[in-house]
Amino acid sequence: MKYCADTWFILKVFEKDQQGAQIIEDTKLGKARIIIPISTFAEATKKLMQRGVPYSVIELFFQGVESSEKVTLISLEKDIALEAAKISLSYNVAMLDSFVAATAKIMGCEYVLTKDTDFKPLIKRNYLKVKSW
Amino acid sequence: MEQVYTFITDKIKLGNKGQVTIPKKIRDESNFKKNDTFILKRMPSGTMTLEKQQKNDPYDMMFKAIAMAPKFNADEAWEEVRAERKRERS
Repeated sequence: MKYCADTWFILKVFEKDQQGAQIIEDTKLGKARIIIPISTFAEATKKLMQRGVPYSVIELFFQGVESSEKVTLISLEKDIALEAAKISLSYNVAMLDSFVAATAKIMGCEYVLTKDTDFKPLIKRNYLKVKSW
Repeated sequence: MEQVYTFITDKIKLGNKGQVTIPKKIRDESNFKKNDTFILKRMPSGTMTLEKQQKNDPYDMMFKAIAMAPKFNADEAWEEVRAERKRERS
């Protein structure tokens, strides 16, 4: 199973949520892959620091991600940016949400891990599926 | 202070057996040593990146960071994110 992580998922993971931890564990077991868009990294880092998580702790987590083959940080590339522009225009979705959706699409992710209801227009048109709890 | 690397672009050639040589300037500045391992990422666009793999187990690092994080309410934090996204839209 290939997932694309929205900021919601990273916050849940740092909250020590069990389901979040299980999904990371599943990548270790080869049952899953997690793609983290660079926009998620930026937004989640800001929110975590606001919530008192030291940057050194966030950096340690993402150093682990960058060394992993199954949990991957994805930079914003031209094809993702173009897809995000099309999504934002066609579905009237905010740019940040569009970056997440575009990354999920381009990277072939089956689900976006999010609780963001603003993805509804995309879900309605079968552009993507979301998973949350 | 975090290491800042010189922005470099350089041409490299593919050898007979698919090997490439990373230019010396990059090897020296990045402190690449013999037997270092790297993660090669190839994007759907064809772009490739090379990242030096840390010596520690990636999952140990991720779970250690999670354990070290102070307690907070993720759902509250998420609602703040949603409100911020809404403000940026308007």
